[in-house]
Amino acid sequence: MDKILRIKMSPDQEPRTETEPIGGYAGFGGRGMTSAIIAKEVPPLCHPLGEDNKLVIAPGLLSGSAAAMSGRISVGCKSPLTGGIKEANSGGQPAQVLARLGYAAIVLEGKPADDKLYKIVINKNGVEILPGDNLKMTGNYDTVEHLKSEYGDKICCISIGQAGEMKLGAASIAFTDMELRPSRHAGRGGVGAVMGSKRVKAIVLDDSGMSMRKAQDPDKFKEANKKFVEGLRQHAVTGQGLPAYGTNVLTNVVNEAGAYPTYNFKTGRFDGASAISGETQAETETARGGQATHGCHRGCVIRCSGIWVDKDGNYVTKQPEYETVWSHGGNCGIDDLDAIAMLDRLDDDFGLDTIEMGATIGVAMEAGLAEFGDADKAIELVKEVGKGTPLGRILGSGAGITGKVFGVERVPVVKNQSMPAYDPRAVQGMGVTYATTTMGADHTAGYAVTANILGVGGNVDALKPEGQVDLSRDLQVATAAIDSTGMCLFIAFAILDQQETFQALIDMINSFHGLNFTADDFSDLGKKVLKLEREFNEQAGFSSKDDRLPDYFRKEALAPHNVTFQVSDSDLDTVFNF
Amino acid sequence: MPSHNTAELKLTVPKKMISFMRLLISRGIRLETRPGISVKEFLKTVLPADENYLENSIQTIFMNGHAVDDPVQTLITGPCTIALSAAMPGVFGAAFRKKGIYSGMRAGYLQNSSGDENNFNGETVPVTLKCFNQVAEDLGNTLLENGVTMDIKDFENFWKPEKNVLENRALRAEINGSPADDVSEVAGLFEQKTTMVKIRVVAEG
Repeated sequence: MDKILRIKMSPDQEPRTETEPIGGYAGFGGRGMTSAIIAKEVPPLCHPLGEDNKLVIAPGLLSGSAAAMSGRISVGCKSPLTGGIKEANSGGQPAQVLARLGYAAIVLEGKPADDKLYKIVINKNGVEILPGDNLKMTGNYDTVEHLKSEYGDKICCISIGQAGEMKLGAASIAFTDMELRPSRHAGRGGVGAVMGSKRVKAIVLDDSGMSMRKAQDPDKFKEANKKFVEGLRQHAVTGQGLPAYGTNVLTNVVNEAGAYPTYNFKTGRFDGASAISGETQAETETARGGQATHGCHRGCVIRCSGIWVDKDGNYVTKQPEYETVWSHGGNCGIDDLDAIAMLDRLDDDFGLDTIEMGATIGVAMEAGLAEFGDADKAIELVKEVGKGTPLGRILGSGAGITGKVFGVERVPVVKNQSMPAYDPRAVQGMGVTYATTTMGADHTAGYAVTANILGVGGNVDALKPEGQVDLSRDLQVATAAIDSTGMCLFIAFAILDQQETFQALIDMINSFHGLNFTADDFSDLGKKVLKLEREFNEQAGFSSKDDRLPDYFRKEALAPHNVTFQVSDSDLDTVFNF
Repeated sequence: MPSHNTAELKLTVPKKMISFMRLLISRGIRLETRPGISVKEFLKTVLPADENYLENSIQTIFMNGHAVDDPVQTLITGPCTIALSAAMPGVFGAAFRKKGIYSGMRAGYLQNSSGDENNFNGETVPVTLKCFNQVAEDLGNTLLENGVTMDIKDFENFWKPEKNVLENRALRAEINGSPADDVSEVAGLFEQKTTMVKIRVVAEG
């Protein structure tokens, strides 16, 4: 994995490829790689859909090896949704396959003059750029079926649906899972629109004939990987809660805490939460012959996903995860898991971010386009996006645009990106992260709960409310570090509680690459990535005024606890003091 | 003996259906305790769990939606809802964990008692207990075998939407000792005056 593949789209000539050594980007993986390339090579003031923007797709540092949980893949660009730097990541098979093919990154550059679509085929023999117009305005599921019939079932695919082709702000990029279904998505920030702007419909990867990546010190690597897996399996979250119920295990608990954004962030409790909880979801999946426990890529030992089937046992979609169940469920007053699964399937097929779309439908309901709780109408609205009607294009542009078009004041966005499934008034530290992250409102930007091990930002007195800024800073730094390894973020839970599991992760990276990384280096990496991203955003025109929650979070008290967001602006402005 | 407005429901279900029945526990079961008891003492009394389980496996406790950091010091002084969860993922899970190092993220959520004891004069305190996720899986079977009491409306809200599923299962039901003909309709068979239902689940096969 020592080369970078550049695919150059041009208005003047046929698309061409260049492969170059990894050079100055050595040591970067995942988000570290995408943000380093974007920060260095993309003019911050460029148009996100223009020729100067680039789309970077990068596996992790350990992808393609035997390392457990190493199958995340990062996508970076200047976001058409936020206008700032963006990294969105996904599970699925492509990280492992791309890494085995030897690529540390694929960079899509330039822009063709015409509207022709292309597909790119990468295998051990090299790279081909082929016409893809026969796939025009097809959904991800049909696109993958078509590619499978052409290239066989040993491939994996990266693709966009109709939303990406239409260059909509909520467009995602799909990555196929172990069953060769386009069910895993780099969802956030409109990354699919950037791929669409390059007119690349799909990338087909085939690692036949390639071998697994080998560690520089195989014995140490094997031992560290073993300890790492043991740590994940013995931890209550990664060994029990997530495998049994998936991330949707959170629904009942967040709702109980009064932190579950309901009816477009009007209240913190949803009466129908039990009906869409992870417990109900897992029971229904099992009873119908689906799967309540399933991995999204080979080498996953947590297996937090599942397979949702209909009442007759037919596949509908992968197990919708917590954020999706919330966004299309409680946020819209919908308590029907079958309807939510259908919305997830439509999002995946059209290539849409489920968080953005659920939040958008919530805003549309607030605008009167549908009643809260009307699942059939919600499905109709998402179908409008797939059809590309004028209304669909508005909705597919995200909650911010939809709110403006329909004159809605309560629009839960930061930097024009929709908030996820935790009300920032109830979990104020999360609100700090939503407000200040470089990515726009994003729960995963401050997700890696490793601060006390890393000691980023000094000792935090977490019991003091004012400690939330420090906590958010720590979490954002630690998350950037883990994202930069390309490991699944869910490893963070075992790392929090088990020092030896954290050490095993460091040992895996060191033994694989022949490095002497320490815990301090790990946090330095996180800080470095965040600084690159902050600088990009500042040059793109962002300032402290963009690090704010919408005004209504300070004015409207959230039931049942009647709390408003109370962290001061001056405190928010200190998050990046490191 | 059940009180005049509490019906008794005995459900005999196939063993593999017990996981479905455990979902009842997340809706909330009704219990009573003496005022002034600590949350920990209360849980020790009502749950089929040892000290180690209460300390280590139950990672998050809510009282009336507020996180409880210290179940020994937190007292039940008035009617309340207590919810129990095993370890949860994410920042949220870390923030709401008992005495978690990220509890600062939930400003305004510290809680030491269930209410204003001056306003509650009863000899016993009604408590609604909810067990979520792994806690329900670990303790639910025993609770259901011993019998749990629920608000009839909570039971109806759980049972009625599952009509299609229940029709195809080999279930048997008895209400106050009399067999019910259609188990899927059992939620509609209680007398009008019924406000609570005591449910006992027997797994067979």
